[in-house]
Amino acid sequence: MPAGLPRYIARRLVLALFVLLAVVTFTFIVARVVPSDPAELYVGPKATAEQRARASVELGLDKPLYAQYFNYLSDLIRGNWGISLRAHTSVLGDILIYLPATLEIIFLANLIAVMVGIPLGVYSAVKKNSMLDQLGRLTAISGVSIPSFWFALLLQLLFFGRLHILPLEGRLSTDVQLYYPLKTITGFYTLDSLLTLNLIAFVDALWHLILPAIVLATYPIGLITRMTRSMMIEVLRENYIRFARANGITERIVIFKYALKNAIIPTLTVLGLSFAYSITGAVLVEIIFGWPGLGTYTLNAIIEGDYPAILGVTIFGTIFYIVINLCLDISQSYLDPRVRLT
Amino acid sequence: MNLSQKSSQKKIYAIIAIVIVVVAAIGGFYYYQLSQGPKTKSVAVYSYVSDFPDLDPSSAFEDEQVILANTYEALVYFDPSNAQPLQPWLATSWNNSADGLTWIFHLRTGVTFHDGTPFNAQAVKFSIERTKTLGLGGAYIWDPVNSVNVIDDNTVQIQLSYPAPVPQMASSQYAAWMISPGIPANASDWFNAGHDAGTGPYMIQSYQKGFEVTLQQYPGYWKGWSGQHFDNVIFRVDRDPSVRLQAVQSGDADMTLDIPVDLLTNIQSNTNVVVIDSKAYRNLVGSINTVKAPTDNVLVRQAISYAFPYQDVIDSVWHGHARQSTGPVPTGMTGHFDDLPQYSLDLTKAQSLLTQAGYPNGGFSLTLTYTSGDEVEKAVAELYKAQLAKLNIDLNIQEMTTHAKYALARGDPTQAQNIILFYWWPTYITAYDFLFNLFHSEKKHIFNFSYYNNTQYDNLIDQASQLEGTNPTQAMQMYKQAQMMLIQDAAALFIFDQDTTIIYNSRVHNLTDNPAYIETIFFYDTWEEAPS
Amino acid sequence: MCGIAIIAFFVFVAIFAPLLAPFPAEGAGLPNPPNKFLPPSFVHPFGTDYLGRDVLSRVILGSQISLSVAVTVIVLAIIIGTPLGAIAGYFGGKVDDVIMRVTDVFLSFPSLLLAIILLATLGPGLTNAMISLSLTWWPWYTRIMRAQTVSLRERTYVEASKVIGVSDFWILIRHILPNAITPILVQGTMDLSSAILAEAALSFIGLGAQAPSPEWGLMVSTGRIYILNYWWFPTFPGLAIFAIAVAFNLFGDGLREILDPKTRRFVEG
Repeated sequence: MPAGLPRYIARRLVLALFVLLAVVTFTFIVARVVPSDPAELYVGPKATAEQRARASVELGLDKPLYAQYFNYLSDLIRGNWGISLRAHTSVLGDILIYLPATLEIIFLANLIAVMVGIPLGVYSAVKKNSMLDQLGRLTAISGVSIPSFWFALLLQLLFFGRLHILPLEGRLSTDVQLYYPLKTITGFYTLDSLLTLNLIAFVDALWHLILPAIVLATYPIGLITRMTRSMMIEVLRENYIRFARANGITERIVIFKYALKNAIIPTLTVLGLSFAYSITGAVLVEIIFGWPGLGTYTLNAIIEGDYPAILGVTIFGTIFYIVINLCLDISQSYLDPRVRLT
Repeated sequence: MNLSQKSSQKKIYAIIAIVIVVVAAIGGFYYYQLSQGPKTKSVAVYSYVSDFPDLDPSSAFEDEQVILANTYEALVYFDPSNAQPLQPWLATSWNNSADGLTWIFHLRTGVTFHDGTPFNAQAVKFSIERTKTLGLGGAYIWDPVNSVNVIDDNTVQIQLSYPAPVPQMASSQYAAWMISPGIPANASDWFNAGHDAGTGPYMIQSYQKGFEVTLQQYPGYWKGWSGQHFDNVIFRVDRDPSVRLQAVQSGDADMTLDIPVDLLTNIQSNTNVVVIDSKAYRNLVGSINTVKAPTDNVLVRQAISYAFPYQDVIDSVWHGHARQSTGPVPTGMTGHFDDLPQYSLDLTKAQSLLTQAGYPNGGFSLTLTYTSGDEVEKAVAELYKAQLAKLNIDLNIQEMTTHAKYALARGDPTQAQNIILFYWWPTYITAYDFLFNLFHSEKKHIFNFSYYNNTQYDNLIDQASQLEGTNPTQAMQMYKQAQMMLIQDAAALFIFDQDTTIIYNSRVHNLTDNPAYIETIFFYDTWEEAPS
Repeated sequence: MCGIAIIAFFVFVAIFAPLLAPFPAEGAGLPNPPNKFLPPSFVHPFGTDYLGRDVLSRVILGSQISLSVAVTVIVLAIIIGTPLGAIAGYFGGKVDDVIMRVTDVFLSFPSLLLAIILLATLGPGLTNAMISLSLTWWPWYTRIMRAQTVSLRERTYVEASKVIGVSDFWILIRHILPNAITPILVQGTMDLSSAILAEAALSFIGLGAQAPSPEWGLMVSTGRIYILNYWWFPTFPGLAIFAIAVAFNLFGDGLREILDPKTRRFVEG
């Protein structure tokens, strides 16, 4: 392992834990400051006074705030993330049920973004000021400027409303559900259908994934195209590139073997950022496409004031975010020793 | 990398590409087959507006009854279309003692739960006690119950601590379902993983949380399965109304409701689709703050009641699929009276009342809160704002989440809103549900968002409620008097009584709507002819 | 170039909105129920909405909101973030640690989620949305400013000033700030586009602008369920958001090419 790396990782981990604790505390305080009545949400609006009082004790609301906070922390560590006030079920359990749906779109969206963005960025840089370059620059700008919720509506209007070739919402068609029921193993419908050799469900799941994934991919495509293009342009000017060209190495090898390799690092950073961004972007996409994922769960929790669920999702999202950033930082420090010294 | 490496890399890409194409082709072929071939099962797809947070029949209190009414049954069935609305369901008959404190229910024989346990008095005792102990959701309806006693297998006795209409309670769409004693302890998680323990015609086959519930027939259902029935019922969550409407129009779903009337303008031309309008026991109320100035002045409240655009709302927002409320009890419910006085849009009257109250030129502002995401409430608020502006009253409309809206209203009345918009519907069918919850004085604010504090009113409705089981005629007269008080005191804006508009596939037969079970379709009674 | 032209157009529209809108009262929110859902026509080029209001007027008046919101959010974020970054970078040590840790905490929240949680506390509304967004945005400027400050404080003229006895505060203002401002400005203009999108997203969810405000995100949100029947109602406001976001991005790109020496090579290119 390169020198300094273990120490770097250790420092970042400690930092990450501290940040996580701060986030949990912050959200806890905010969730309790908001005028809300958790007991009422739990027992239902028409409960009697005794039922509410009992719920208050059950939920630990009668204890002082700092006691509730410490109880919450100790429960968290032991894996008890609380009970959803609205559904009376375990928050962590619910999060894990809704998570794969969201991850499926995020993965597919970022895959599309990489498959489209990198080649587009590369060719746009290589053939500067050509039609392809204009297309690349247009994509880059549009991708980061387009309001995703509006784009989703337009796509719905076009592909469902007028052309009738893509479904309006949901993850699977009702017919497929009934005649070729999908046995869920991981919760990723594409994966599960392949694992159970249910090809019809596989095609159906993909068909439903297309529009949400495309919408979620627009921002990453913009970012990645722009970043790849500008990095490639910069790298292509370097002396060693001119040297390689002068020595007669074919253009294709020059581009992909030498230039792209060096341009890839900042692009990876951007990819990591876009992956992290996808979490928030997924909320909007899920609303429009009625996608039963974590975004829908979060929004409902916030609207209903279901604070254990809100806390649970925030912690989960933050862990996700921190882990991604950590991986990014570590891979960057692995590739670029200067980073380890900061 | 050298040439041979490059060509083997190319080969790998080629193989992967071929595999993907083949897989997609096979899948596509089968998929096409699926869409063309005959459908072997009779399936009803109900495209519904929200999800089902809690499937536990004891605590479910949101919209789960649309499912639970098909997988569970209660002792009594409430049928408003019948002269005697209280009909036998799992109980065949009942009677009460003279003092109204003891009720005897005779139970139906030959009924079993989905897990095979027989339905008997022990099960009734178990269900009511479990619900009471859990104390969540609609459990409060069993408050008057002191004890439930097994007389014999088919007879159960319910002892009350004060008189109450037990058959009505036992017909409730919340907290009155009969549950098998065979369920595991702490069954809440078990229910929410997609299990049910009822006696109803259907049982849960599969559950995709937040998205879809699939039911299949229960072969041992006591009414039997002769005749035409649906093999499966699917409840699908489609929050977007345009999606729901599209689904029914394209045949992807069989029935749906809760469609904004603006989207229904072209529906008449579609012969595949039927639209029925039935009375819902649901209304929109605008409770007026009787504690905070200037709405603490009854003249001001009456004035703003005359400034509300009732007809505009009915016409432009509902296209006639609703009617202006007459008092707080919705049309069609016992306790509703058509001859109660109504306010109407009359700015002249409003102006003179304002002058009497000491505000000849208006000049004050009011806050109105409404539910975020509700387009109807938003339109109502905006229309009202425009009218009040003509009286030089500034209506500050605030969109809030249901939760925040209630939290504000439950705080200090002098800091709360002046007017709050919300919908109301009953847990079990009684005018008392509206009159008590919305206007009875409260120590701790729950739903009396008018903060109306009138002892005479309180006594009147409390007595009426106790008389309901034994002397309904007199009870109704007392409810009528109470409603007069509310209207004269302008404790709230009584805005509209809503219809339930169901849009469904014309091949579905015998679909009726029972307003006592909100948005619920009893699928056992309906069937669908095969497509020609 | 192109970006500046579009921005100038929008700014012009925003300033003269009440004069340009054909139906200014409807634009502001006055309902006109008989005119519900009229398709685009000569009188109503963008059609009318669910209360019969002219959509073109609503979009024109909405430009005032979008522009002022974007500018306010970014300016606030810069005002909060820049001094913190300068202090962190200049003084280093414990002060630096504390400030950077706080920054890290804020940056660890997925930004939309943080804004939503803050709005749940403060209550929905345009002002609160602006405050929430500024609070999610300032950390970026702190980081930029800090990095700049760190590299600048080693410069000779700063050392020299210190030796002479110039106060730290003065050094920060006169030497560090002017030289560090460039990347802040560049980032700020690029962020204007994101700010508009973020604010529209919050209004779309229902936590930002409230009815009857002609804010574009709110219009797309209200019109969402009508997309298949009355497509014009959510489409045109969304188009406006897109256009102005593109404009700010182009402007930001152009600004960066001019101001940032490293990228100047592209221009010559």
